[in-house]
Amino acid sequence: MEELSFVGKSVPRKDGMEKATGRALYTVDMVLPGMLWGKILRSPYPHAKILNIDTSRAQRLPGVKAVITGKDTLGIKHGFVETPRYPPDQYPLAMDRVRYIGEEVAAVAAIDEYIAEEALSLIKVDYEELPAVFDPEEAMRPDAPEIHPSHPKVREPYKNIGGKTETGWGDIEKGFAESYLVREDRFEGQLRTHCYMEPQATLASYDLSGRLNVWTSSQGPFIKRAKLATTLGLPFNNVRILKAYVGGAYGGKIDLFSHEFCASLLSIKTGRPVKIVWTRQEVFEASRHGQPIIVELKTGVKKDGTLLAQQVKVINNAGAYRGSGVVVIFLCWGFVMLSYRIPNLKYEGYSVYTNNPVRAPQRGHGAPNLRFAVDSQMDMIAEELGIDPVEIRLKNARQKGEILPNGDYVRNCGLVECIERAAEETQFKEKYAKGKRQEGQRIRRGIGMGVSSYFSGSLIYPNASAAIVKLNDDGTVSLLTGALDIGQGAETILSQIVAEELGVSMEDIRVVAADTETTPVDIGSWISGGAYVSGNAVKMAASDARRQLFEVAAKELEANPEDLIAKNREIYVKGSPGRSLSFAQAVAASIAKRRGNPIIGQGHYRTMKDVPMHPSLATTKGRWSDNYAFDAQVAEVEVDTWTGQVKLLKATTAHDCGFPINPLLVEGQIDGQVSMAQGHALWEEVLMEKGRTLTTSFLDYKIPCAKDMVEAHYIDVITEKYEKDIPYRTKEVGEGYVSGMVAAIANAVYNATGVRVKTLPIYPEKILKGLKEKKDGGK
Amino acid sequence: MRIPKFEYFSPSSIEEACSLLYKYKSEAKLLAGGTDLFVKMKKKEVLPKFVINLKGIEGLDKVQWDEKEGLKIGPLVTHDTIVHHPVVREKFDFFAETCFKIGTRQVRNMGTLVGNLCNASPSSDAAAPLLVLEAKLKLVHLYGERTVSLQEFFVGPFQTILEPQEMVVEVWIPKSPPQSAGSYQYIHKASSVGETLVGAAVFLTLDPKDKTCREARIGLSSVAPTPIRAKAAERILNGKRVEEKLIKEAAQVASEETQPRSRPWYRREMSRVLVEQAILQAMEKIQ
Amino acid sequence: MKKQLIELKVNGESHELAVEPQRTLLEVLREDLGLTGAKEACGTGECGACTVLINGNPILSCLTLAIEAQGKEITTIEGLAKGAELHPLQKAFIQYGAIQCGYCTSGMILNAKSILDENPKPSREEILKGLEGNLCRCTGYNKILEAIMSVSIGEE
Repeated sequence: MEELSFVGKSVPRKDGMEKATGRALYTVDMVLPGMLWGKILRSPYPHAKILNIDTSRAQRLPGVKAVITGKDTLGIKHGFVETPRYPPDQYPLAMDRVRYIGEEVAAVAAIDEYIAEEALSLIKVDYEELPAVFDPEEAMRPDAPEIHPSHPKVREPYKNIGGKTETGWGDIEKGFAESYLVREDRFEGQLRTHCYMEPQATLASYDLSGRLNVWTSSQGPFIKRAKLATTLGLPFNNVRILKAYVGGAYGGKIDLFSHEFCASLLSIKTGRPVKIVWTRQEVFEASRHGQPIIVELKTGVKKDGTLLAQQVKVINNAGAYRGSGVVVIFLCWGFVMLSYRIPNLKYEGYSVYTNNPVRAPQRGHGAPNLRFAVDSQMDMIAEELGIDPVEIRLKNARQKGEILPNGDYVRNCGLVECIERAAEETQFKEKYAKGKRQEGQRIRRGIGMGVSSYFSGSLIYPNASAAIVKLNDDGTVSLLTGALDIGQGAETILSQIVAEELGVSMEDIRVVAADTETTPVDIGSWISGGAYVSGNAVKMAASDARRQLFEVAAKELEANPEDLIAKNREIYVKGSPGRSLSFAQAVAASIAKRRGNPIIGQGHYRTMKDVPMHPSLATTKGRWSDNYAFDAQVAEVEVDTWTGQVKLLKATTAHDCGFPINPLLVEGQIDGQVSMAQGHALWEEVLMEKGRTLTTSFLDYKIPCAKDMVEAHYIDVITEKYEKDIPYRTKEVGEGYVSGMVAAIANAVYNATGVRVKTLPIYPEKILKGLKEKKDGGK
Repeated sequence: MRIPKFEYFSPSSIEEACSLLYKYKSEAKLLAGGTDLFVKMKKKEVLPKFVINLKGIEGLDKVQWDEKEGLKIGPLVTHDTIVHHPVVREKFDFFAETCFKIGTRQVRNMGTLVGNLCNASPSSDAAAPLLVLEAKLKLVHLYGERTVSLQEFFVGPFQTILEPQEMVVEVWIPKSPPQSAGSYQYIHKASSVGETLVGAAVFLTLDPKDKTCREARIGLSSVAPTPIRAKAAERILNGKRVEEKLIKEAAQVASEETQPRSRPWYRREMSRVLVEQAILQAMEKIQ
Repeated sequence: MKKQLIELKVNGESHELAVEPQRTLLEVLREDLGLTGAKEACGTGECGACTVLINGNPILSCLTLAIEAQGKEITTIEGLAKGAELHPLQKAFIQYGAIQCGYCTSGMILNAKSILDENPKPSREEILKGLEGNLCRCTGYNKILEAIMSVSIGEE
């Protein structure tokens, strides 16, 4: 196989210069002439009828240019998923009811933010409060207040069910009956949030010819365009979402947000650009945080630790509208069955409505909480059986070539190698044994392992990515891709692929990205398919451009296209260094001799080539993904048993990502996910009381700071390779490395202290109380 | 997040500042570093019509040492100045170290000690060491002045004894007796930066030969409506030979003097652990 | 509230502006001078994204009034490079992968510069302690530390 020049190399990111010099423009930075500022009026009640809204005083305030409420909209609902079973359920502005504190009720555009805020205080809303419910298990009870009527198919016997996933195989009772050991445990994941540094923001500009231009902090423009156009009643080609740099997202900026709709509608009404920027307090109080999930796990194993049966019940606290809750309960099934073989499974997932702000995917989308449960219990089972935690995982881990219960093929799964190498490089066995012998010490060390797996691309609107590679007269290149760089380096890796396929340098490529008007469709940076799906679309486009160049060059050089190679914007004949044609010459020849054809390469890709649509969210039937990533992670912690405080000292990630297109970027992704896992496991929690958010700033909600930096180690398990002209299979690296680490940290804490914490985060009190109980219980 | 509008004054003397305060009283707020005032204003917790910037007044940023009187710190002295000031580091080492813990690098460049004390957060890090150093504050207004102990100064959470027309012009830390040392121990709420969950300051005057404690002072922050002195715990140590059992007893009594509102069990436990640690560290320093 | 005429010296250039007293330095830099490198991520002093240097010291521009910043040397990220020649920290951040979404980058680089200006060879702990007021959600801080260390020990 020929040596690669760009793919697989740690090329510095393409947008590094702009970001390092403060020139990169994020939505919050953008201004347009005549721009107005918008503000949103939010419901102060968790559940109430809207009897009347009087905006007259606000409208009369000097400086106010428009005020809108639900009745100014078309009353078209939107939702994260839109299927027959789960139709859209949320209005962009509340119509007759509000269902959470913070729900959007009205919006104002004014000449400055002070006036806009004053205008909000002049809007009079008459509410009639309704009984509310905040805990999902309470909301499921038959006597709970009804937030939405449950879909008829998902009703019995519970209430407030936004969605249900039910599936299984084998004979679960028989499986348990044959088990040597059966454990039942309950795990709870807390409400945590993304903390993207750039707050939610949108700038919308409607020109009076009927075109709406929108810049918004998002994770992909095409899904935004679809939902925005639909709710506004505009055709897609009149709604343009343009590229803005994004200051972090991690799952919190996918859905259509009310303020995006409001900025657009306010712009339409005033004929002026309208900008809405959330304050950080608003982000904590009213934005979509990560789903808090309860996992009830009953697992049966043979005496040697082989899994025989697993019964899983997942309860997701979805918030007041369906949101992505119905997806996360499907995904949790996936995250149960991907990593370990389970011959008999019964899975039930409920996404429950509560009068809380709607929740969103957050990096890992269910996997962190699910793997925390499964892998904590795995360690508990291992200990009861007297088996090593590494051994029990190796026994059950997915192997290369296996077919998953849903029919998907894991292909070159490197999970076993990940586990083995992670254990070896961290000297797991020795440290684990040492960890158990620290009775009486104040400062204790512990080591723990967590295993996770993640899909790389699946089918959800817009389902496909396409790309265009245009040649310029001088042989330089434009890459047109709908892919959005949200920090993960999309533009860089896609350029690396073009450079490799086409034989140009990184500097020769100009990327035009994430503009619904000028770039082709892209699946978005939220379905874990950037490197795989968008990458293959770009590869095909670059390959197509090269093919056309070679067709022209073959004629000019009187050679066979198969004998040509491209490098540094030149086309050579293999073995004849004298015979070459520059790209510029080839383009000129193509224009002259092929009736003006300037050479434009096209490409497209979709995961699941022969599968018509995504699997059933309700039954999980159907093919889910054709590409899975796997990892094993090890955490080494230090616990002060006098204060209960835990330090994550070292994180080792052994990952099967196929092959890394850019190792430096992959490492950065791992570092960021380890940091998120640290916060998730140890400190982060959005506290709420009766629907009201108590943690409203970074002072209350602790994310890791520089002093919390963790020593990180990376182990690349390469299971795929890159070849020219055929689709390649690299796997996702942006989401799957949070979950294994959360479980690893919990297991490491147990190794150090003997205290098993089943609810996150691992507050120091939980460790101290656990240690006390052990002492008093006389273990 | 925008700061609500106000009318701005930049006086050039304390007298001018006091005059404005006397005129506008509760409608006015003093501006020193701004790290507390502007946050409160943005959150609409405080909405003064008038903001009086003290930074235009010369001479308020001085740290002065007098062999008899002790240390005098002006109202515009920043945390960063205290951290690096050679006299503070020499005479009150654990106080200078504490100031290095406050906020972040940026906040320490901007925020003032006096501003921090006037904010009167129950979890103020500066408060506990100053309580055990028996610091006093000089308050002035247009027609008079008074000196109060730091203990008297704190009246409730975010509430001080300051009248609307008064301002603090000096923090006075008296000279330490010979054979004395202090220590400040703390844990954070979470991660390694941010609000203190419990802070314990101990100041001991001790005979290094036979370990008899002449005077013990124990201060705790973030465990009560204001930073407090654990007087009952101090009485356990005063005049006695300090050894392990006594230290643990004093720490236990100190923890019982706390009134934590949130996470009470953990805060009491940590008060005990940190007071013990602080006593031991203070003792080690006394030669 | 009446606007005041002030003169701000930013990146070596003087600007005459009319501003209301409550306007922060951050707002004026971003909205009046078009210098959008400094960002707001929290507005209340916890995130450090608004960090600029005043007389070489890192301060939070979201809690500093524009009128207070008169007569001082203000340095923003836009003032670090000399034409096309990047500051060593900017080069290192790019080279070492210390930038992902980039939102925290301006504040982080300026604070790092002030740390190195104070002490050209700080320890890892000193750097991390100095950066505790600059939050980053993307990088875990690992490559940020590497980039700064590379400049401090003279790697190029």
